[in-house]
Amino acid sequence: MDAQRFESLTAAYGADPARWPQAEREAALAFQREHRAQAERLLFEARMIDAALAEVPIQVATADLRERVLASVPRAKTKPERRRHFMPAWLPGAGLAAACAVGVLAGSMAVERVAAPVQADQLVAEAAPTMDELEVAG
Amino acid sequence: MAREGTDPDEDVVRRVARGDQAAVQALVARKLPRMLSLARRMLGDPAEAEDVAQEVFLRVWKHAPSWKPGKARFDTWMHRVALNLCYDRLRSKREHPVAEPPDRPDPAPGAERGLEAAQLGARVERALQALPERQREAIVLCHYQELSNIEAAALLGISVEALESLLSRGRRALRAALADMARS
Repeated sequence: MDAQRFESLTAAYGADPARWPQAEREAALAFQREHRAQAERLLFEARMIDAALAEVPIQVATADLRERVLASVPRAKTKPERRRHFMPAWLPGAGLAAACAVGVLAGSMAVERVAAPVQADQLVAEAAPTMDELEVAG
Repeated sequence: MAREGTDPDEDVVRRVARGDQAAVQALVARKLPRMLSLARRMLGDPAEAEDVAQEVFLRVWKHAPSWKPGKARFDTWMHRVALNLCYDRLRSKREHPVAEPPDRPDPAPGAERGLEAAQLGARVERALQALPERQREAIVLCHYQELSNIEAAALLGISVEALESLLSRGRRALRAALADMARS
């Protein structure tokens, strides 16, 4: 590399060898070693501009901006989750109905003192689906 | 400085396309500061820089599923998107100039670095903003974004020689604009 190219290189890319084009870096460093005084004179100008450019404030990404960017990710179109066989959506309703039925029956038993456990069992059994039905319904 | 070869973002972009939340977080952590820096140095306005950075990511989410590794790296593509968004805003500023250009110092670094340093930084930033657009782009891409000369030239659609000319002229203009700083 000659002095003219070294000057052009530092005028364009500055004094930091890391910024020099990879293909010419070794040759430029060799020029710097072999022509120290001349290279230093050329690098002085470049260093001043590098130093000035380093003064430009860095804008830090705020947590709020990060949040906004992350919130902008479109929500994946997920398929509705397959219902688990042992817990169909209508089961809580059926259970509640059964419980109500038991409660009504118990109330009537308290008032009328009618012993009808078979009737209560039957109501619960009628309200709740069988395990076979649960498997199919899921 | 970015180097030629395989795309270091290829894997994370593929995972983003699959909806991998960890990859989304990683991509934002990796690229948001770069996009913000690019936009800030191109536009000189922190609020506009944030808007541009956010818009870049909207395009990332949209295009990541169809991204195919090819000639350009994903980072270079993001730079292209960000630059286009900056052009739009710069064009709009030219067409609808404001009476007083916004001169909002960045409070956080300013507080840390002290008033004098903040003033110095603001002055250099103004000098950078005063450069012709193409010269500023060249300096921003090579100096701040640390793109290789080949990548920067490709982004600007010019030869490496033309890029070097822009860089030299830009740096010379900065030197002239800030000459009194060197004397003091």
